[in-house]
Amino acid sequence: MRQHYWDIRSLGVEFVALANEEPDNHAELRERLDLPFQLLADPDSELARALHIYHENEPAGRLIARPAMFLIDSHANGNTILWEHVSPTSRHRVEPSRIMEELMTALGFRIQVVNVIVPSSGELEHRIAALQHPPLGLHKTPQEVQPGVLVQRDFMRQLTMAAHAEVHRLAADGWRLKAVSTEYEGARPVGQRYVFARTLDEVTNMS
Amino acid sequence: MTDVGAFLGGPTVIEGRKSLLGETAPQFQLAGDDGKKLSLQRLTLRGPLLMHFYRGNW
Repeated sequence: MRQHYWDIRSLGVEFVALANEEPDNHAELRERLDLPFQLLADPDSELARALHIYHENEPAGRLIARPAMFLIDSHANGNTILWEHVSPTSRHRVEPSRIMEELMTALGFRIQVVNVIVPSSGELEHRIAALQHPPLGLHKTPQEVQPGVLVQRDFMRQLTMAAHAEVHRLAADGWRLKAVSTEYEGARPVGQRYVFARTLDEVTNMS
Repeated sequence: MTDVGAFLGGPTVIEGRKSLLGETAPQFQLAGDDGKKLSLQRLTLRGPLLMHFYRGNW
């Protein structure tokens, strides 16, 4: 969920994660994973019970909340549950792109969002170096470089150029740039994320 | 509006669980990771809220 947090926030939606945990464990978890969102503690599973997701499951007889998501409308709109997804099992995962699509539909948006991630030149060199065998720096002449390595190198550069071209194409085609952020892998910056959006029409959702 | 259910492939049905879609969410006051209590009202003052009950993965 971590990498999709900003996608969700770009829809104007607040995000919290919840679990049957103590606040102290959550403080440790949030710091360790450097999470950008709040972790709420539901130690007695009171909220899980109220949302009908508390159940008896594996391992045998243990009571626990099912993995679930609830989209709740603003306080001004009466906190109506606009969308829910409850997983039948703990192993069940939902495609993040499908979640985004469903959230936008539930919110009455008809918008398309495109994320383009352009690797930084440092990251590109890092990945190319990781693909080199023997490691980068040992080769003196092109003849000494294995053909496959060169192909990898060109391929990586082509991908970066394609990402750059895509950013320019979207901007020229009337897509609105909504956000630019640095993309991280752990603590390492790996590139720039460009979020573009285009409104098809807006469905009034005042029912 | 078009048939959203058909478009999305329909909701996941779990035996014995009644969907809460369209109902008012239960109020709560739960402690955040900083120990401070957060209420549903507070979290939804500026807009909608997505709550994710996780089980050890993100």
